[in-house]
Amino acid sequence: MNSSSPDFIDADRKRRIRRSVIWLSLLALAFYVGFIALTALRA
Amino acid sequence: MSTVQTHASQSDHDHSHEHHGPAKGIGRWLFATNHKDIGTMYMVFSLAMFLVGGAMAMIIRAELMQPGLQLVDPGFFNSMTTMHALIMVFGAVMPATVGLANWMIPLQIGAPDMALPRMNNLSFWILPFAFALLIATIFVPGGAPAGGWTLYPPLVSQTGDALPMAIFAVHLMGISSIMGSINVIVTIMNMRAPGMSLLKMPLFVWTWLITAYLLIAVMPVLAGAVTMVLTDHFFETSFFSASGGGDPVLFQHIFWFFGHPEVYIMILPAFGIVSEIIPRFSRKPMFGYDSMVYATASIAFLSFIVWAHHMFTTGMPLAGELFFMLSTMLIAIPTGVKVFNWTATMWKGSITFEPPMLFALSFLFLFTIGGFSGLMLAIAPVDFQYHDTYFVVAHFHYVLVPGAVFAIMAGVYYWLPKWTGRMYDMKIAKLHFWLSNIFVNVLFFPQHFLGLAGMPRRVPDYNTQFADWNFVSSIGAFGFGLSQLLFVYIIWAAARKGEQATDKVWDAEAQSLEWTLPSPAPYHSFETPPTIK
Repeated sequence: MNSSSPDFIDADRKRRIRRSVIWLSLLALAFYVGFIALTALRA
Repeated sequence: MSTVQTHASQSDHDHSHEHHGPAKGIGRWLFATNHKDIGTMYMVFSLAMFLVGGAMAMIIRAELMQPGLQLVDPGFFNSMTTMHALIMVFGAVMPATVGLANWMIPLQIGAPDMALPRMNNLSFWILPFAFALLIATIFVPGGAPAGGWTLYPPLVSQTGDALPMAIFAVHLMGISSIMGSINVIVTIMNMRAPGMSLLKMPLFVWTWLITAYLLIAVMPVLAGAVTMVLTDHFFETSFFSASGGGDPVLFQHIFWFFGHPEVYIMILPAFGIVSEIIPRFSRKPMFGYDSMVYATASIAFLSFIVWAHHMFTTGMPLAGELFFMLSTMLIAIPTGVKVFNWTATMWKGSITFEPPMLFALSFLFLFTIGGFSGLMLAIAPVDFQYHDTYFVVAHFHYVLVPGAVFAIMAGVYYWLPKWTGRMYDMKIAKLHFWLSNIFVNVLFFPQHFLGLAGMPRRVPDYNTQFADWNFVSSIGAFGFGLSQLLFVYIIWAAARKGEQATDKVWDAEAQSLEWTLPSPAPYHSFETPPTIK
């Protein structure tokens, strides 16, 4: 069941969206792992 | 900002996609991928949590109405202060702004939906489970977490069976927020209508774009901090345990690296809402649009370098105190730019005082009071006196209640007719405003006096010298709490039997794209992107 709008996103935009999602997810992961690593070094 | 736009008739789109409307029954909500449905669910969830967190606040104020222990035991009182904060921050204010983002961002940038509709569904549906888990901690052995929303070790280690539940709940909230933020950024960066450059975007969209980056940067930091608390408690690590070579103060640094930007995560979308409303009801364009954008970005940047002003009393080198004191004071500059611009927008405007404008104006005055008390707290030697007193409680409640919550209510009153297609009862909405506005001051203003006189926060009992103002504050709390039932009634009555709203809704020239749509906004909007001139 899909109640979202019909698909209006062209292939190129989809690629850009996918790339943005990957980079932003990596950024979030870097903050998570980075802060644990920094604390481990300090403790 | 853009003022002129053209697009094909929206009604043509509606007819061509009549077969693709909302699903029927509960499935519409469980499997929702439409930004309007998900926005509605966020708003309803937020309202429910606002009432739950509010009920906890009533318990707190009932106990504090008189000195001595009357109603609840001290452990439960501490659980209430902790749960009230966690529920209001993560369950009420944040989901409300995410709900507004879901509803309004696609409409304001001329997009058919959010870029990632399925992830949007998941972001929302994580939340009810997270809060069911958090609220369930009240019923487990040892009771709900009671060490404050800051979850400081080693105090938090005294939590009973609730500790892993609360930590898992915080992780779930974080995952939901991060997914929601990724969605917002990706939507704004990739789905804008042709011609809508970044500096033509409505200010609500701008503030949410910056908020989303803040969320992606700091929610993982909170998740990391509570993960380490968890491993310290169950797996014998010593990140924050002094006996094992760790440092409990380090937790405070990490927590506030998250915690201070978190304040702006709650207030920047509120700035965006107010920036939509004040020009509309002043019948003038926003004064200093570009400077509003730069001020928002400056506040977001500064929020990362001020965290230790929450920790002056833990002890730090004089250079550290000076740095955090001065960097905190710097935030007054971009915030002052914003207050100046809102005021200048109203200058010589043809102002009318409908409920959204009333709430926005109250925001302007009362948020500024919260900002000024924040400046007082930023002064390190002064903070030694005020720290952990009711002055701090008064300060952040002025920022968050007549600040963030009033702005959200202003936004609901502003856009509700566009969402539902129905107008609410203006008289009752104005009554709701005046009752809220009076009682919020009766509730929180006396807490400044209590704090300056030395009453500590997070205590269920107090010296009799504090009795009078506590009594007044509690009366304000009950009045404010009861007034919010009017808000629930107004929304319910408008949705059920309100008069048909016009497409423009308000008798003032509109500038952003949502007002080009019919009221209610069609289930699928902007399937053909509008062109911004």
